[in-house]
Amino acid sequence: MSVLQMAPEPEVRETIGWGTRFDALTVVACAVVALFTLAAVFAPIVAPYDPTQVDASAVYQGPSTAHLLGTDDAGRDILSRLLHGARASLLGPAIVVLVAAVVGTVVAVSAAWVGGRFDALVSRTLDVIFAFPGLVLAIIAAAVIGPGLLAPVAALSISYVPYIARVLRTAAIRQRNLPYIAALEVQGFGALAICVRHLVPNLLPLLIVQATVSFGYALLDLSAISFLGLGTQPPAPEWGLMVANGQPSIIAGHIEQSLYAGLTIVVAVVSFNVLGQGLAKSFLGDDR
Amino acid sequence: MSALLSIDRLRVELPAGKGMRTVIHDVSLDIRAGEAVALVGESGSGKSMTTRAVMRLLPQGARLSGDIRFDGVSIPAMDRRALRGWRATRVGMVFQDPRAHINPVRTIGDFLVEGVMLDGRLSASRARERISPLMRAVGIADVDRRLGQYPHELSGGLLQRVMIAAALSTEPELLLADEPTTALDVTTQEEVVAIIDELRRERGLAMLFITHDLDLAAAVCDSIAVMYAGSIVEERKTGPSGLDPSHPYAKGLLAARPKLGRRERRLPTIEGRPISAFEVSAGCAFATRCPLVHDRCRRERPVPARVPGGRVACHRIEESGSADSDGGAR
Amino acid sequence: MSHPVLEVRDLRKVYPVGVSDDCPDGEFTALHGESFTLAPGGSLAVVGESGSGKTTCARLIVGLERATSGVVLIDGVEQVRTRMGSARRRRRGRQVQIVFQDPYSSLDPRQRVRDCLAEVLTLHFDLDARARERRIDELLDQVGLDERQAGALPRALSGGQRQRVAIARALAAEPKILILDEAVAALDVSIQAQVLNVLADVRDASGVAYLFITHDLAVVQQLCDDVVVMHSGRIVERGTVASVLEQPVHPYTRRLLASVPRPGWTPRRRTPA
Repeated sequence: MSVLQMAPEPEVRETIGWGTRFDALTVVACAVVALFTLAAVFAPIVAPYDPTQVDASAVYQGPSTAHLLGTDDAGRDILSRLLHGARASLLGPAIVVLVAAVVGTVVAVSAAWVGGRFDALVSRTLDVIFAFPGLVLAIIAAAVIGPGLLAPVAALSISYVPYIARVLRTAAIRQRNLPYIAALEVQGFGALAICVRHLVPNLLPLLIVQATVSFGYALLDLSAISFLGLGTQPPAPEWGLMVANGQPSIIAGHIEQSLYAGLTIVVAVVSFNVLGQGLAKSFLGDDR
Repeated sequence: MSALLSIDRLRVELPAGKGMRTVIHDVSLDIRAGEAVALVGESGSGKSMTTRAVMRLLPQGARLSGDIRFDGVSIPAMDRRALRGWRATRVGMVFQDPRAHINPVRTIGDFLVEGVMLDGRLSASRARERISPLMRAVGIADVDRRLGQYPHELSGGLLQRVMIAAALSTEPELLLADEPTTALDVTTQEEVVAIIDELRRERGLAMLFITHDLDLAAAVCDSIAVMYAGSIVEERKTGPSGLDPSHPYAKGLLAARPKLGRRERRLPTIEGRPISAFEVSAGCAFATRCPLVHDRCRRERPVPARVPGGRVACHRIEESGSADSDGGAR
Repeated sequence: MSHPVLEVRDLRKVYPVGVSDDCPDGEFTALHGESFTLAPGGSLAVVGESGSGKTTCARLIVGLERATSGVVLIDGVEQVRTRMGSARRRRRGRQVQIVFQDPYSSLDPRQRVRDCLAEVLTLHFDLDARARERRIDELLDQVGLDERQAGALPRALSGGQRQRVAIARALAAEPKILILDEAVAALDVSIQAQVLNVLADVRDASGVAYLFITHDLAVVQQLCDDVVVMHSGRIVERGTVASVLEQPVHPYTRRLLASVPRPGWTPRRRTPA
């Protein structure tokens, strides 16, 4: 008994379509992500203080009108550090996701298109990378290249390729076998033209969903690396680093710095995840 | 003689966006014990939704009005237990896609035994005894080997025979066959409908046969109901010489199908595309495509009226005097 | 007879499959070295059921798959079996086109009808914008689509309308041969008749030759002049539609004909109960 027959125009969900409806939670998540992005871009304008300015006369101040979230052990304004920290904290995952998305798409589409042994080789390679924890790779990279944002970002970019490529490859193979692609081949279009003009655009919703979810995880990984002291170096502000820097103060009873930075990371990661799932529901009709 | 299955002014609405959409509009149909009735229509005509309503398999949020009675008992009013018992023992179903209705990781034998044991009256060994003759009845040789095989090892035609055996295994009184041969090759289709037809007659089963193929329906059913946009537009007994419908849609449908042994210069067509029940305005569902349409057809919905050999819902036929209106009462 | 626009000679296709009970040598022969020809402007039906090799045949002719052996000649020129360069690929596109069965996945879901046709015209012809628009209008008119449908995405179109778009897209390349691979099989009866009429009109107007792959003998009768009947990768009978359908010789053709539902038909079972 086919469900198709109840619809006036049978809508076959073989291909990925663009939906329009988003639920309230997704809208909130989207707003939070937008807010973080704006904070990163306009940090110098909106931040009330220089994030690195030490003020020995104002250490460990509680929340006040002068310092909305108080100050840290060096008298630096925590809010300003969080706002400025958004830059390093979001730039890293952005690069990771961008590189992984581009490389992942190219890898997935070419594997799907060529098929056969090449596809098998690509799949096995992706499995190997997938099996290697990104965090470990990033730590090794930092140990070899030296601390800073570059090494972990480069390492994570590689280890995030399978997250995107594996999902995209499956979808690309499905698209590859649809008759509209065969019709284009019969017309005489080249593989590159068909992939760029037809195949990839039809994978785009899925790519956006994967990239959004990956962003959250990349943010978490990079924060962890900074927390370990292998990423962004002090005194530059970064959320993971702030959690680490706040540790000694916790013993002295001043939990603000670690708490606020930690909360910021949690909110950001959750928002990206919720947004990704909301997009999946809307784009892909996916109710997971 | 009272009907075994009686559908009375059935109306089904499905949730769509903010509101509800009508998919079945005032469908009434009787099937007597041992009688085979075909429900014929194109995509979206509501034929499959009608069988779903009969089986209480409507999607979440569906709204149903009117009544469906089986042997005098209202199906929509049954409680869960009664419904389960009724489905397990008194009605058998065969679907278009057998593969979607069989567990791929269990053997054919397990599937059949489970079906027979559903009503809880038979032991596993007795169930097994009942299955073998059924398998042979549907034309499956080497029964023992087949019972140990998995669904993916069987062709579509063979699997559909297994489904027929399963549907008949609980000795039901009514068989619901929803496009049982649409996915099969023509030669396999002949085989499968022949098996359904033979076993149905042997056992005195009533059948509701859903198809889009008028000629096929005429070959295996005692009468045919043609559906369009959620309504039955014509109901007619089948004769040995095939069909002679009078509703403009049914006529058009029959004419549009190319015929063996005759080449038309151009095929007669029905203008436009089939519409859905919720797109129908106040008038006749077919008014937007009908070559005979006039004002009254657009204003007023025709009710089925008796004609020789059946019932037709059409103002033009009623006006031409060949019909007695019975006001849809039954 | 003038020389054929399409000639298939000893075409054979073997697929490697896993070794199993049904298939001890691990090979499945979809097509056993078959031959046939199609005259310019002719209409040849390739009739068969699933597994007959008819669709494999179509895919080999348009170059979506490579034959194991045998040749395909288009306009007397042998088609290469190796990878083709872009110029060669386009040339073949101008010679032979195909319309598939499933109207719902035959069009790029993100491309509007007009853009779809424009893309094909741009590939094959050097037209200025106005000439291209004019040609698009001609094509839409030929298959019976209106201005509103031309601006629509596939999901806003019905199955029949989508199939018209697929036909228009194929015709845009002005091919000599159009392969219709079960092109009307998925359509509702009332829509199928409309599309069959469109196909008849197109052939009258353009002189394109049809290779009509189908399982449906009634449709063959309506649209084709000649027919080959295939069974298990072999051609079992060939001739004009009139002679094959009226005086079938091969038992399989007879069986196929006997199983078509028609007025007065009763299904017969061939396996004993």
